[in-house]
Amino acid sequence: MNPFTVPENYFETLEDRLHERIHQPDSRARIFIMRVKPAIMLALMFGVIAGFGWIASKVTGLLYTGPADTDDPIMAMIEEGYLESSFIYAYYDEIDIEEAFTYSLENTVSIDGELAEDLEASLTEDDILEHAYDQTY
Amino acid sequence: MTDDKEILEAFKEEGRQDYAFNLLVRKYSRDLYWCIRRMVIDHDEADDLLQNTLIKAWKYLPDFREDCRLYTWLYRIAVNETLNYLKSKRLKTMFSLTGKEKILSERFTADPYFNGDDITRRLYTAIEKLPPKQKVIFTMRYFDDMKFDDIAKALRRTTGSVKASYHHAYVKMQTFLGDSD
Repeated sequence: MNPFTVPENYFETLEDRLHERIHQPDSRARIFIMRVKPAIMLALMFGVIAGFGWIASKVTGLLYTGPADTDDPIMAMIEEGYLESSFIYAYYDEIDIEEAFTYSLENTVSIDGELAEDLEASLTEDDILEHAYDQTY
Repeated sequence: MTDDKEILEAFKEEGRQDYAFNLLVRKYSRDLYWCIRRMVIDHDEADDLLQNTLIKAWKYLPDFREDCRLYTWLYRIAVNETLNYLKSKRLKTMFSLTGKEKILSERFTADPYFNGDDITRRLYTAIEKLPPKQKVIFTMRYFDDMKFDDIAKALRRTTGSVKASYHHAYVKMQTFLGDSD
């Protein structure tokens, strides 16, 4: 004995439901989606692969190319972070060495107000050396 | 009952395809439905699979080479359609948060189109536990009383592999039904 049953008039209405499906025109949007779907999937796949590659290279550090290959020791020091980047302006304005030292001292070491005024007024190499000697001994 | 030849000739004539298709649906839809229904149990699933089978028949009937009976050709489409569906469904069930046993136990109590007794329910519950290929082969052999050679032809497999699958299914069925005592 068959333990299964079907809804009333199931087989009688089957033909109509089938014809409805067979003769149902595909909408333009559905046709468009069907056509562009493979291209979209391919583009997404490339995007995902590129994304994974970028994340992996960030994690393993492959994108870091190391310090810049330069002959200029000042530039190398700036890029390595040993010098403040603002120093680059002073450096490339080709100010003289005294001004450069003043700039460096003002920005890197703490000096008292009197000395700063002196340095600003007239600074010679002897003054700097003397100051450095005093600070050391 | 309409002859297959009449259906096929009518289908080839311009403007008579709908008529020919109606003849085909009237002649074979019931047998195909019950064959599918025994494998998937649920009416809505069987209805979807039957419609997909008949729409494929409509689409590919011009390519039918008439090297076998029309029903054999339709049956082959139905069985393969069902097998593919059962495989994809099994995959979904694997990742389902609801337990497999719970799904099986609720299956028959919730189905308004199942009115079998307790023994029948146990039999179909056991069949439901079989892997898709074994389920299809067991159903074709046990309910439709098909020969192994015919099952092999329908599924495009060797007779040996069909016999082996049936044997595995039979042993599992004994275990499932023994366990449920």
